[in-house]
Amino acid sequence: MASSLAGSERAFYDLVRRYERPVYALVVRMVRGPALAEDLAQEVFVKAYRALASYDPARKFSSWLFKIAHNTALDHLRRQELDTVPLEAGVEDRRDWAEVLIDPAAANPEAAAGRRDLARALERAVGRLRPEYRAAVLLRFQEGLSYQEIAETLDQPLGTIKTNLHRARKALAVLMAEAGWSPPGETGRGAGA
Amino acid sequence: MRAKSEDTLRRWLAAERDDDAEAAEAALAALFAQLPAAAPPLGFAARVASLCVAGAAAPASVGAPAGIGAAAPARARGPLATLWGRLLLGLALAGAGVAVPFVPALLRELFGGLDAAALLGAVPGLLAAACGHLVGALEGLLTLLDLAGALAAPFRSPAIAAGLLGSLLLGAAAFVLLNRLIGTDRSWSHGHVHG
Repeated sequence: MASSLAGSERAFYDLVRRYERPVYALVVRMVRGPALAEDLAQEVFVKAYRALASYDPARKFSSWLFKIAHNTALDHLRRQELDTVPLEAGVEDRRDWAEVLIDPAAANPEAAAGRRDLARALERAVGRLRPEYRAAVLLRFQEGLSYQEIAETLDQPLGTIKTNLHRARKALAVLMAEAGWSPPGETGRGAGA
Repeated sequence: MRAKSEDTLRRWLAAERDDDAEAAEAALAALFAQLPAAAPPLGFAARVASLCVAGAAAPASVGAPAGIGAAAPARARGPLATLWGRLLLGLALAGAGVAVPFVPALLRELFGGLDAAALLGAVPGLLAAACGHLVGALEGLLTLLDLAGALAAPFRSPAIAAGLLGSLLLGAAAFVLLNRLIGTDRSWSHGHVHG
């Protein structure tokens, strides 16, 4: 961190390499546009670089960085009023997502396709949540942050985070059911044996 | 054969249905872990790092406006970068090319009958004219200063100054209030799932 503060390109490169995926994954799922997310993720790191001097080492670096990423994505959503996404993504959007999603665990093409379908359905469902729910869900389930870390990142009370996550989970389940993914014992794509 | 991720999905949805928060949390986290992750394009880190370090040379503030355009170092744009610039340069070159044959005749016309003694004799007159213009400009400046003094005179009164200050403060407060109202009014609730 000290060498990054000193302005070493190599050190900052290592820092970007370490955090590019989580930052990009958070931003892309917040704004739901791979090309746009690339610009915004870049903006996140530029802002972080410029604000490195104000970073408090007592805080967790990832939380600080996620906070910048979340604020940047939220600023964009406010500017563009892109608070929701269309129910059906266009062909181009699907192609872009296919390029963005990496699946090293794909055992066979059929399984990979199934996983991609499920991933897209979940992307859409997450994209339809309110931005504050969306951010909490992504930080919790995608990045594995604790409730306390999410509260610090989003500048919200711990109780609010717990409530938001609970409601967001329930809302996600409803949205997935609406998309045809149902729990066992009910009809739907996920109900098959 | 059903994919593992679908089993995890079923486990999560079943836990949600049964209101088992702990199991639902664990299953949803597992589901996210099993699904393909989003990754930036290759070379992203190198591009960002060089952009940041190059941009650091330019003065910048943390609160810079959002948008990479604001953060990225500005690309130098020469006069020939625009279509108009190139068009103007082309026209100038064409004009110069057409004018070249006429240059000797023009020079003869302008300076052919020029007399050095007459030129030297004209210098004092030119200097006097320049001084006259300078005095005129200074007089104009003094008139402007007088006008500014006359306009500022009412504000020397404490009552008027206080009134003006009060109006400014009131205006600023109204602006801040309006800004907050507009900011609050941009609700996120429209079209969202509230759970």
